[in-house]
Amino acid sequence: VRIRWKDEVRDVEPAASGDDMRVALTGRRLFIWWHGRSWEFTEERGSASPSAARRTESSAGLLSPMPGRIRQVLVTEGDRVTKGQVLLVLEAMKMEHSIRSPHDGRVTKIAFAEGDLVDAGAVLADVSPDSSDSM
Amino acid sequence: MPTFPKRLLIANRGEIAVRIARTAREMGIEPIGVYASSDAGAFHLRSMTASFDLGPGTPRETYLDAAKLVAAARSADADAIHPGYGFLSENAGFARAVTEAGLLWVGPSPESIESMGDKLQARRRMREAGVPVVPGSDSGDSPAASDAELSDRAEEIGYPVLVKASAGGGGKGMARVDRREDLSSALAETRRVAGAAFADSRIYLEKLFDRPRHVEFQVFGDRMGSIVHLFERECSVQRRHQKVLEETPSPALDARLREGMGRAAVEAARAVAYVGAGTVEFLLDERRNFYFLEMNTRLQVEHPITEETLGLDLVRTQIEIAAGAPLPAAWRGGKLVQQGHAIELRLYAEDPYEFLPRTGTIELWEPPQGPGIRLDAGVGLGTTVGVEYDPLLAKLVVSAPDREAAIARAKRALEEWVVAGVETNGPLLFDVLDSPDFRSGRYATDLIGSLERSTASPPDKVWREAALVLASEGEAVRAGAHPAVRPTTSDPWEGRHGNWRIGS
Repeated sequence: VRIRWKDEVRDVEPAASGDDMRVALTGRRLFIWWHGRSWEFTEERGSASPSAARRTESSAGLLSPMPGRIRQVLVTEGDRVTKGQVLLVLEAMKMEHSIRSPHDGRVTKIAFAEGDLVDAGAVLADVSPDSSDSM
Repeated sequence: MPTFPKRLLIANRGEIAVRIARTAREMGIEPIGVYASSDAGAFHLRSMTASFDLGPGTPRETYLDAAKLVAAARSADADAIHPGYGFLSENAGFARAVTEAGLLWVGPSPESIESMGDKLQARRRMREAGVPVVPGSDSGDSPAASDAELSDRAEEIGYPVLVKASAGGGGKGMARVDRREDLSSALAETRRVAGAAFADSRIYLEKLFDRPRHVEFQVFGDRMGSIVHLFERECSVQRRHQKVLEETPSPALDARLREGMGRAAVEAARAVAYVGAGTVEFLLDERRNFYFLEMNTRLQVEHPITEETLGLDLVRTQIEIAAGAPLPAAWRGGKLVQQGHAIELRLYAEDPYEFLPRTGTIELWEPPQGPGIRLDAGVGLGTTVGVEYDPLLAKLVVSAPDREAAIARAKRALEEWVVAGVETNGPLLFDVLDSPDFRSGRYATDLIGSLERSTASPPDKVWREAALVLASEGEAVRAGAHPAVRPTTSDPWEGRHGNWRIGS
């Protein structure tokens, strides 16, 4: 059976008999709870090869690690920034999280303004590296 | 006889609002809820007899707006306000506004809140009362203030040190400094954060203990001046300086240490003429010396483990004390004895490995049940968890005759708990309970950081189970397109259809 968990797709031989796990099916989604952990699977019907189903490595910029609200924007597009410099501050559930520049470079994109809500995985900003450390 | 309130406005949301409403109803008091317009469908409102809209806006403009809350209490014809924890619970201005509006404030006096909210003042008063405090930059005649003075004190205390904001708390306004060359930037940064977040840029230094335990004592005072403690809660299981799991009794204390710390906790509360429920937090170092850390002048999140081991309802006593009743005679007579062991597990909406917030809508929800289980939940099936509020979804409190049985019960309960739609820290809770350090009872605040964690990806046997379900019964259940939860049996075919419970 071809099964997907997050970005991972595998062809799996079904267990010979059911194990001591809790399962639930909601539409096409299968949840399994075991030892305090849980996973959500879906069955893959298509003929796509497992490797093709993997997400291609994103080069879109700095992604939000969590859903939240933009608390502060500390730079503007065109600014020169250094590695580790805080570009934005994100807040969710009373927790603040600083988004830092991954390298020295120039800010080419700030996608949100203060007060905006963002989803986890949203592109927040982009910094084009200085040619000297783009390798 | 004191007069109890008839209508109690609960200036909070989530599990604690539900918790307080339950006691209110048991006392024949009507619980009144409040909500931000954007939070109109919130779970806690279904526990209330009536609920009031605080209008649109951010938490600051709603749940944190003292004037709007007092106005809501007036329109609701409420005669008392319970602040819960967080939000305005430790805001002396709110306590004053409530009292000045002629309403009963279920909490300590504004003066007590102020004394303890200002960490420098609290530390000074504790030293005067003979309560040991963490060695810091303020131990001398005058607190060090300039960078040069603070730097000198850091040398005396010895690195690593902790830079703290006097008005800080809850892990905010704190910086660890390991080397003297990093001190001046940490001082500047903490002053800046403290000024921005608390409008008070005073800072001080504390000695940083590498592997401390956090042990707190529940205290209670009445208007007649009686003050007692209700034993300790062990709070060392933390991530990002916030608690994840608490237990009582603490495996770190023996009868003698418990007595000494309990006495210090009572003295701490007495020093600020404390009335109502409060918590005195201590650091315990590896040589079992204890130091006053801070006092929380409110009901604590983890109060249920105290309730479960003593058979008490602390919210009821809070309301009675606020109405002018004395502490129960049995408490004053020192007759309280803890029974068994209790553990609280906090279920947070967060990624269990990086501890970052997660949001979503709860699609499946089957909380654990059975002997020794108490669940204080602020969510249910269909609740949407957003980014604006605390990530605490629910508290699972297990009680058992001894610690080992309580751990086994906690694991059993976690395995029963079905949640889908919002990622939770369930796996972290399980890994803590399963770890040799936690099981031995010999752990400190570095426990979570040093855990050997199970990985996020499914083990092979889980993949094969998924394949089994999808290959066999998947079609039949998919046709119904409804949630179904069941434990699999050793024989997957036997009674399989009969075991599916189809939701509606």
